[in-house]
Amino acid sequence: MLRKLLLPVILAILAYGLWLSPEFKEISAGVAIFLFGMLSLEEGFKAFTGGRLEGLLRRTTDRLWKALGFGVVTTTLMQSSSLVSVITISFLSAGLLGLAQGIGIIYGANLGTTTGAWLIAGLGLKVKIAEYAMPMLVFGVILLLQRSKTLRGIGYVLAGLGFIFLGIHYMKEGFEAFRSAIDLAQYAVPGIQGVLIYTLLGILATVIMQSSHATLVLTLTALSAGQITYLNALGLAIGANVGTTITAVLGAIGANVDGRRLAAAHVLFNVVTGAVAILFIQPFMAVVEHLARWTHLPAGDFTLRLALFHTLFNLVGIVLMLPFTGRMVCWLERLFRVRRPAVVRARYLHEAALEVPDAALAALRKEVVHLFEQAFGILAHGLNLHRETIISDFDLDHLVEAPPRLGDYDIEAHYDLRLKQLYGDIIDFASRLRTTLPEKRADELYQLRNAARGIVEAVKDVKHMRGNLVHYTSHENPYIRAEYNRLRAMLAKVLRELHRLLLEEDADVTFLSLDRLKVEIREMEREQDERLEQLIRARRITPLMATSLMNDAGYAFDAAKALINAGQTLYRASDQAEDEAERSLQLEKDEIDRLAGGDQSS
Amino acid sequence: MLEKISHLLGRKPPEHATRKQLHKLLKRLKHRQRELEKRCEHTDDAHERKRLEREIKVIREQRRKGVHLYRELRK
Repeated sequence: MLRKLLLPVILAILAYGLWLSPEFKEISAGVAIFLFGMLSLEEGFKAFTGGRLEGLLRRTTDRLWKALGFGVVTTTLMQSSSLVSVITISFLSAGLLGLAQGIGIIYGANLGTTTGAWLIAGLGLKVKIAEYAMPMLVFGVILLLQRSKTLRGIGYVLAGLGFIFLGIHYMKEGFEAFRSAIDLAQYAVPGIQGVLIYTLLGILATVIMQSSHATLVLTLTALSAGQITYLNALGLAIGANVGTTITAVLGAIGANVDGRRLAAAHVLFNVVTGAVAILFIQPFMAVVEHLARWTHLPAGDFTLRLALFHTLFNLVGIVLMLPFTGRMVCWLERLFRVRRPAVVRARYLHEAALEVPDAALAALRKEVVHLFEQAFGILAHGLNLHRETIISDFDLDHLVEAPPRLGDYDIEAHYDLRLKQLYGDIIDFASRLRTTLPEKRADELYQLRNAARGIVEAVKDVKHMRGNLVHYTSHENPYIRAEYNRLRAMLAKVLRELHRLLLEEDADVTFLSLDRLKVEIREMEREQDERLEQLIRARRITPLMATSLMNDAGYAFDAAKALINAGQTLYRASDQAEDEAERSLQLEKDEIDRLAGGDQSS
Repeated sequence: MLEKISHLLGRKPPEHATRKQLHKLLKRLKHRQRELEKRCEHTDDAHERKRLEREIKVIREQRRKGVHLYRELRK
């Protein structure tokens, strides 16, 4: 209700203000143009995130200090902490980043974003930047109309910078004109009371505009025009720092528990930093003054002093919070617990992950591995084996001969509980991702969806053969018992190898070693055919047993092949070039058949 | 310049990186093959010998394919 009312109220107040004052109109237009510029800039950088930024993020955030450096550098370059936090949340949701690393990036982004104040105070207010805005807009818009994604990205960046410069110009002009009409400085509130009031105003302005940069530019332009006092401007800067967490909080709404933990860490860091800055405002001002004199800043230049203050209190915040990051992670993990539902749902597929193609595909890959993990238990029990038995190093050929103990296992019920919804989530996510994914990545998506289908079909195959499997593995006829046990051992071997490849990352099992398994299965298939004929001829098994075995062997071999194919799709080497090299040596079907000795053509 | 930018931003690794990786992978496979051949020589278990021979056969085929591809890339 409150949210519904808020927008009309804000619009009405704005309309009244715009009608009342031409200066206010100019300042508001400046803010609007500036915000539009920020959106364009973000859009432009998003065009470049198709691999490079994600790759960099993955490689350079394995340590907390590296994550911090990454946050500083990327936010300084892109001048958008929002984009960095949204990407961080999407990567965290996709399970590609740890919470501690995510927090490190957020710390760094807070420091990186302070460079914006330096640029505006140092250049934006001193140079006539509107003159640069026009050519940027012209070239930007021309490039925006191009087909190439890279050119369009450059166009968005140029147009974004042009709008930002133009916005700053309008705000500056507006405040200059405002100064001749009304002196806002007469509303200045002195002392700590003023800092507190203006901090709240800063939070409010940033929440409404959803940009700390916009609040800072407004503050800097108002300060340079003498419309607000230096002390009150400090309050506004602190408020902008706290208010900016709204972007992360909104970004975390569609994220999983890790995304919410990161948003909470962001809020916590900025609130603590803001509180420290308010509590120690006088010592901070003294240090700023000392540093200003030491760096020979002009005596009356309060805008650069504000930029210095902004950087300083964020730096102090990082120094204060960094040693407690580990404890913060533990605390946040306790505060936001993962709820385990009765029906298994997707772990990594969240709205936030859809934002970035690389993150979305990585999340989907992890989810299909999760699907395999769930299917592993069902398949193991469906074969009358325990998970631990399959994972162990014991000889499976001997283990399957032990009397079965899971005769009453309801594979259908477990499928409904652990796979059905999860598979549905995967299909839903893949369909939504297809609409936003670049064409060249569509094949990857298609393969992942096929891998998920292969895993689910393998479970269905085992479900079909389970009735006979339970019956014949405890049958008095040793021949039919041995045949079904062979099928069980074969499928258990496939599961063991895939578990080692995908979940244990065992060095002995590689993408290419699965080709050996394919050859083995092909050989087994042929041998089984030959044995079946001999068993029928020698009347060792009845015709009914033979037809059951033929059907079930078909199910078992289909399941094994589908699982191996899924495993090869899901496996990813740590390096892209290594991955491509391994895939180029993968054996084709005819090569497998030839090695298994079943291809007559060769 | 635009080509350079798109190359810089592109996802596809440069050809020499793939060739280098292929070379590394072929060396690793060769090493693995030698190791398996030694193990095969010393095993008395027929079942284990069959398994090792199968793996050697597969690696040999993968290496053959890899050497051919490596030569193509070098051209």
